[in-house]
Amino acid sequence: MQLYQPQGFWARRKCDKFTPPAVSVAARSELDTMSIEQNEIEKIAELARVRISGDEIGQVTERIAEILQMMDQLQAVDTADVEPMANPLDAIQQLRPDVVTETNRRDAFQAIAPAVENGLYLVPKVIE
Amino acid sequence: MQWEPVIGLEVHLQLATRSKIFSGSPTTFGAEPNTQASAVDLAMPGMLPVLNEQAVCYAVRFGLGIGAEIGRRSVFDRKNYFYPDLPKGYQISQFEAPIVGKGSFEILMEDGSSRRIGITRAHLEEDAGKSLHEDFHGQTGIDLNRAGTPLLEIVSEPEIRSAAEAVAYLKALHSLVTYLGISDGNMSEGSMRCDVNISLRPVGSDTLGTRAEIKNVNSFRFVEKAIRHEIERQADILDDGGQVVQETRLYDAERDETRSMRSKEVANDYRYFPEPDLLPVVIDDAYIESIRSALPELPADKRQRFAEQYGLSQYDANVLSDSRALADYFEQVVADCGDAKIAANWVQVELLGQLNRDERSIENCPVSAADLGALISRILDQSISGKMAKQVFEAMWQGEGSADDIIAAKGLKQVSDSGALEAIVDEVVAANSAQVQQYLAADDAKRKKLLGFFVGQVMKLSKGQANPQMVNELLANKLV
Repeated sequence: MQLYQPQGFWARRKCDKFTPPAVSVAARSELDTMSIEQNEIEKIAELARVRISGDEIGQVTERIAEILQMMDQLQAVDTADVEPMANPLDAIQQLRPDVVTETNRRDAFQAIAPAVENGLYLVPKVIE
Repeated sequence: MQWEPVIGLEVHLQLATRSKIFSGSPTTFGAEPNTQASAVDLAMPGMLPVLNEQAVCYAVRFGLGIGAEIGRRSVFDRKNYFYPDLPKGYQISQFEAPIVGKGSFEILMEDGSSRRIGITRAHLEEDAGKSLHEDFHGQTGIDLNRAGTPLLEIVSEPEIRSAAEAVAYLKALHSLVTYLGISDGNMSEGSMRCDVNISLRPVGSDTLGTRAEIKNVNSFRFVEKAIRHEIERQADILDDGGQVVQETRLYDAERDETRSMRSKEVANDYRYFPEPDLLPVVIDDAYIESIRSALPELPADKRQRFAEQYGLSQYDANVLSDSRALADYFEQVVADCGDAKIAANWVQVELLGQLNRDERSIENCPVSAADLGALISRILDQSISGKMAKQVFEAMWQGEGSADDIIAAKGLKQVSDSGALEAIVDEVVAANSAQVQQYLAADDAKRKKLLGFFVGQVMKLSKGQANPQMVNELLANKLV
């Protein structure tokens, strides 16, 4: 099955001809700049299950705000005719035939699990 | 105030592949826990997903079946959340570039009317494992056999207006996907799971109200009950001047109510981003055409053809095309006996009746289409009466052999020999002179009733073997 039509790497990457525009700090502040509040950092940390202690949080917020400033600079680039890139490799997905190739290796996998019973992996109780 | 429900359904359809969407593990239902969970499904370090071509094919087949635009370049994304039955910490799904775009299909209401419901999109994703909350010393058991099973999530437009329409939508979808052969559609095994989005708005308004989502409703009946209940709940809140809270609710079938999933999780912040382990899937015209040319006849087309080709009522055509297996069975019976109307009648009344009584599906029917066709042929050539045929059918159902074997074994031959029948008719007429006088004196309407008496006597004398049609004709000729 032939699923793809390869296209040239350079044909699709128009941004290599791109010269970064000179954006002054003053001009940049007029752009829709990204900023981040401490409570947003707390929410993201919770979603990512990352614990940030009380005295670290201010510093983390500051550092992420700096990264976002860099993003602001990137946002200034005109990307109107650049195709969004889902993957940096100039290739498309290979498919595998629908065939069962795996065998049951439960014993080996469960030998390294902290707790198992009746073939199940046991985890701390989760119920909503 | 009069409220109008606005309902959209999200169906998670399990695709009938042999192996998982991103690994070579089997997808067989009901295996021992964790015996079908490979290193990829367990998210062992260094494992990479490789996409199953059959899952792509099935998704495209669905897209073509609903007349949708196929995503020529579809992208997989990570949907991030933590739960123990999701070992990677993200589900591979599709967000911005799904494989199937907008389409629609026809749903059939109980009264025989039909409506077209729009599909917003359908995308490929992997299923999660199963959490078993029975008591394992205060712990939860995890079975990852289902992790990585290919799902097609089918999202409808919010165009459904009642619980009955929602059920009709699910039935039509079930019929469509089983016709397409992309899923077994087995709801009790979780092959079709449904999330319902409901909001109410004043009748005549075209702005949307705040919606609630009901998760994981797993049978047609529960979908109907859950929606009815949720409509009532929201109407009560709105009638009291309150506001519906946007939230996820669970339907509790035992108590017939929906209740809020009190979750500490921050809802719906899945932080999607493109899955770096998979490349874009590019689908070309030739591939789409190869799938299109192999599409089977779909339910709506079959319904129409049955009505036209076989001269069936729309109702009969709808019933007989309900599933591909039933439609194929019916057509085989017609091919064997040559009479579509009698075949339609037998399949709907006797066959479906027996299947219902025995709670069997057409796939497990003990009487083959060829056998039923042969039985009907014996009615048509007047070897047996319709009444005898029911007896023979009963015996065939019990596995007593073919129609001809049973007819011979039970001595059920219908008497169609006019000489023999005439003798019996004469006997009956002679023995019931009073009734004959009554008959001759009666008007047409009464005569019909009285004729039944004579037919009954003839049937009795012939031990039920007289050809009723011939008896009627002979009697009508004698009684003048």
